[in-house]
Amino acid sequence: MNNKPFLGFGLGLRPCHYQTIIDSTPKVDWFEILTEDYFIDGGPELDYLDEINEKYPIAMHGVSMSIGSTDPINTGYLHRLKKLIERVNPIFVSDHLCWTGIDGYNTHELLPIPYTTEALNHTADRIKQIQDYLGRQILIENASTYMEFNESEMPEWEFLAELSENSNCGILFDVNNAFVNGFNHKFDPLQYIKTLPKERVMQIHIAGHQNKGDYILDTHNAPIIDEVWNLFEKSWKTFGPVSTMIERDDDIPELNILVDELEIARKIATRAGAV
Amino acid sequence: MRSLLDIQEELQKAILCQTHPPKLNIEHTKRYQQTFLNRLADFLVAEFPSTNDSLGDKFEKISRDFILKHPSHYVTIRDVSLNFPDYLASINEPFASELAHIELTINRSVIAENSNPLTTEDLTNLSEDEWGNLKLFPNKSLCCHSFKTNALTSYSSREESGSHLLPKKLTEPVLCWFWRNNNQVHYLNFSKEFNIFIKLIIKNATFTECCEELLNIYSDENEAVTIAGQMLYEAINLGLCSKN
Repeated sequence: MNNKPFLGFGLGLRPCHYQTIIDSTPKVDWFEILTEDYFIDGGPELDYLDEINEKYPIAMHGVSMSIGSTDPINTGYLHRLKKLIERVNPIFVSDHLCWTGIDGYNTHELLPIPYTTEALNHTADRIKQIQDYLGRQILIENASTYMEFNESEMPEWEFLAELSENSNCGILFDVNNAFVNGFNHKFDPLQYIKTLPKERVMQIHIAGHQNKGDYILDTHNAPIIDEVWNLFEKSWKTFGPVSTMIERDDDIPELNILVDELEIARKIATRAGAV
Repeated sequence: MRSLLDIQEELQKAILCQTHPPKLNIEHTKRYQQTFLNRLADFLVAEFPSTNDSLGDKFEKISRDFILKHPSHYVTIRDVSLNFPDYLASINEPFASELAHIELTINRSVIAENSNPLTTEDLTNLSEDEWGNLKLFPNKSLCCHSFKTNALTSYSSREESGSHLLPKKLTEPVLCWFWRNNNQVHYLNFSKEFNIFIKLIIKNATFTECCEELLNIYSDENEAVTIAGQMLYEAINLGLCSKN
C-alpha cells in the first residue's frame, strides 16, 4: 500500500448548498458526492457539480455497488460509474461493505453480510474485478447494521481488515457506523481502530444518528455526539492524518452550521497531534 | 450452516414481502423492513408533493402498496418513481395519476440530456436549398403527455395559490408539452397545428417535409410555407429545437 492522499476536512455535497458554495467558497477542503445522484444525462445538477469540481476536490461515494451480493456484478452500473469517474476525476471512489439486493432487485438498503470465509472470498473477488474494470482502487466502508448472523466466523473489523488485504482495496472507516454497530451488537468500537490496517484507512466518515433506545439507527440527520467525536480522536491518533468528512443526509442545516461542525473536527485532529 | 445465497434469499424475501423469516431474528428483521419502506415512501413523498397533497391521507398507504408490488430493479432510487403514475392509474386514481405524470415528467426534464439550442441566428444566412433540406431536431428534454382530467390546471393552481382544483374529467383530451430551456422546465399546451409541427420536429423532419405536412391543413402552398416558417421561429424562441 502506498501514499494516501490527505485532502483535509470535507462535507457531503448536497443540492441545497450548491449556490452557497459557489457564491461564498466556504472553508471546506473537499466535497463528497452521492454517486448515484449523478447518474443523469444532463441538467443543472451536473453543471453545479462541474463548477464546484473546478474549485474543490471531489470524492465519490456510492450506495448501489452491492459488493457482497451473490448476483453477477451489475455491468450496467459499473459502466455508468466509470463514465462519472471520467467526468469528475475523483480523489476517492467508495461504497459499502454490504449488499442491496439479489435476483436483479435493489432494496436500496445497505444489507448486512455474514462474516464468513465464503463471504470474504466472494466479496474480495468482486472488489478485485471491479478495481480491474475501473482501473483504480476503491474504498470499502464499514456499514451500519441492525442484524447479525449465527454463521459469522469472525468479527466485522477482522472481516474488513482481511477484505482490504485480500482485495487490495482501501478502507473508508465510518467512525459513526463503528459506534452504531458497537451499540447494536454490544462490542467495543475501539476494536475497529485496533485492528484496521493503518496504511489502508484512506478516508473517514463522521455523522450523527438516532438512538431508538434498544438500538441506534444510522440516520445522518443530527449533529455528531461526543462519544463519536472521542472515537474520531482515537482514530486520528492511530491512523494519522486521514481525509475526513461529515455526512448529513436529512434535516440538512445551513452550510455554515456544517462548516462550524467541521471546525470541531479540525480542532480534534489538531489535538490528536496528527496535523 | 446457511450459505451466503441462502441468507440473502431469506433476508430479501423478508424485506420485499414483509414476512417473518423462520431463521432470522424477527425484531432485527423488522428494522430492515421498516427502513426499507420508510426510505422509499419518503422518497415518493418528496418526488410527488402535488400528488401527495391531492390524495391526502390515502397517499401513504398507496405509496407503500406500490413499493411492495413493484420492487425496484433500479440502481438509483430516483428511478423508483418511474412506474408510480401508471400504478395510480391501475388502482383507479386517474386524476392523481395525471398529477403524478406531471411531477414525474418535470423531474425527468430537469435531468434530461443538455441540448445545443437552435437559434434564429443559425437561420439567417440559409439559402433556399438549405432551408428546404434543414433537418429539425427537438430539444433533448422535450416530451408530451395527454391529459383526460383537469390535472394540469389543478397542478398550476396549486403552484400559484397552494390549493388543488376539484378533479374533473375533460370533454376531450389535452396534449401538454414539457421541456427544459435555460435550466427552467416549461409546460404548455399548443394549438392542434403546432402540435403537428412539434411532432414533425421529433421525427427529425426537414423543413420541406414540415411544409408538405402543413399542406394537408392549409391548401395554399405559400400559406403553408409561411406558417411553417412562423412555427419554426416560434419553436426556436420557445427553446424547442436543438442543433442536433
